[in-house]
Amino acid sequence: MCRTAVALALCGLCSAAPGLRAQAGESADARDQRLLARAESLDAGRQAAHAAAEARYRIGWLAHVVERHGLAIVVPAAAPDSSVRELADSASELLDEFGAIPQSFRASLVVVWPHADTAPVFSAGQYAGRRRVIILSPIVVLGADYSSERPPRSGSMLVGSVAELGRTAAGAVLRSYAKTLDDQWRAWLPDEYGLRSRTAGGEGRPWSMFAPGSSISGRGCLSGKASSCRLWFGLDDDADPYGSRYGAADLRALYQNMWLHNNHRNGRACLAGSDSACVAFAREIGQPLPVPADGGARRSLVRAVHDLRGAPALAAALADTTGSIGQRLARATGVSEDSLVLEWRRLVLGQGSALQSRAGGKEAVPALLFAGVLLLAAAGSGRWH
Amino acid sequence: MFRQILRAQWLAARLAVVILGVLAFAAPLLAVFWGGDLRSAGSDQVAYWLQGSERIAALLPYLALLVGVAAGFLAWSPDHAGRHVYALSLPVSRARFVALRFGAGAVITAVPALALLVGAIVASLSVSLPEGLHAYPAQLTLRFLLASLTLYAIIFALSISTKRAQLLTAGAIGGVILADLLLAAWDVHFSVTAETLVLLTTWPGPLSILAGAWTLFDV
Repeated sequence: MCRTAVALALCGLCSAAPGLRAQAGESADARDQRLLARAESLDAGRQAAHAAAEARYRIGWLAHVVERHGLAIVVPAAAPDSSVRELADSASELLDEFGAIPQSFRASLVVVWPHADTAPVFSAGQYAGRRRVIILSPIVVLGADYSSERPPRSGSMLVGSVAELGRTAAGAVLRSYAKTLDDQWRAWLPDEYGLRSRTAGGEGRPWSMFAPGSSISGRGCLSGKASSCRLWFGLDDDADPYGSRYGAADLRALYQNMWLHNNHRNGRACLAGSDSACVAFAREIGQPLPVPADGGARRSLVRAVHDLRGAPALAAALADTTGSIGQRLARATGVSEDSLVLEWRRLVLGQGSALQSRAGGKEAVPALLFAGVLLLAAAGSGRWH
Repeated sequence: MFRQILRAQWLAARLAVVILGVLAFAAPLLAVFWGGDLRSAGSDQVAYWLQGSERIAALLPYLALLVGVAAGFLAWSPDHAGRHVYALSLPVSRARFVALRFGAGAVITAVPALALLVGAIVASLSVSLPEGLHAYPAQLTLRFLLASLTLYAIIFALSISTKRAQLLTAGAIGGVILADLLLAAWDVHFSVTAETLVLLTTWPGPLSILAGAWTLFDV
């Protein structure tokens, strides 16, 4: 019995062996082909899915134009509509508050954010002839789920706050307007000139506005000398900006921390103690900037003119092409350049409020009078209690 | 007689005056506690230092208030305790006695002011300021003294006034607050309290000395 079972098992194995041999021989090719076909099928499916996702992705980047209050903004379609409208409102509000740029100029622009496919927008239609103001920073962040059935538009969000992006747009409009002005204004105006400050104020005085270590004119302006303020702001057409606006000691202190002087005869002579060489070296390399006041200070001057004299005065100054910057501001505002810079200084030191006074005779009088009146009242009271 | 009254008032107020004097001396020194070599410092560092100095300076009006209130209350507290028997027994007119008391209290308010002056001078000498920044110890002390004197005069007069006058004063203050509440309830955007404070603290208002620059170091 046992021998029979073993014999039957052996026969079964022998009969199956040819089949196995046949299958092994077949899978070496057919299996490879089968697997290859499967892989190609899967790859085709993956590519189709990727293409569909790409198509949905590209839809998200189609240009979408939002026009609010005369300002046209082109953003990717992926940007949320309500946020873009708020952004446009924010930019328009800032530009309206500034008020020194003609409305017609704003209407001649289109502010364009990157990655938007703008060809259809500018090829024909109402925006065809408009000037493009390109903003280099991104505006949207897409969600990672490209395979979602929903279009990417609903999964995207803005980079940064609406207020900040609105400010970026307004700043771009201002820069574009500055490019239409003459050489003097283009060289003098800083970025975001004239826009309302982000913060209403703060504690402490804007000491850094004057950067007193950098120039003798800055220190003089801080001390209250109008002529120094004019030099510091570069308001006059100085034939020799470096000679008149910087002291040799200031230039020397600056160049000591720079490597540029190593290869310049004037630079080495300046550090060795020659004052004239310092000025000559400054003219040679164009460092520091001819206007000692930095962008923040010049921005605050533009803002001060706007706040103290009104947007029309500032608009008139920007449109003026005759004379120095100081003369243009003086003509437009109706005050002398000295008065203008002293008003600015008072505004900066007082942080927008009236400059706080030091205690003196004028302040002592009301206090002493009041104390005297109270003493009389106390002494004249009718009875003890 | 003034000397005796001054001595009596000093005995009543010495603890409070000494404590406030120490605080007044220390306040300017806090502004320079973290060093004061600013001549070679960058503009950012100077800005931060000035901000710290202004924060310390914001405490000085409250210190002046404390000095004035303490001197004003303590000027009459012994008389209130003794039911004015001592004052009534003196062979001087009420007006002269009140003037002597007032003068003595005014001298006492000068003690914390003097401490502030010493502290401010020490702080000014211990710091090297960059060009464009200055120290104002004398002006700061004068403002402190005048503010203390003004508040002392208010509390002094209220302390010696009749109950009727005190009730009238309290009623006036309460009336102003009530008016504001009523205006707010009717959605009227006008504040009687705010307008009154503006009038009092803007020159030539009697409390204008409390407004203004309290910083020791400034441009």
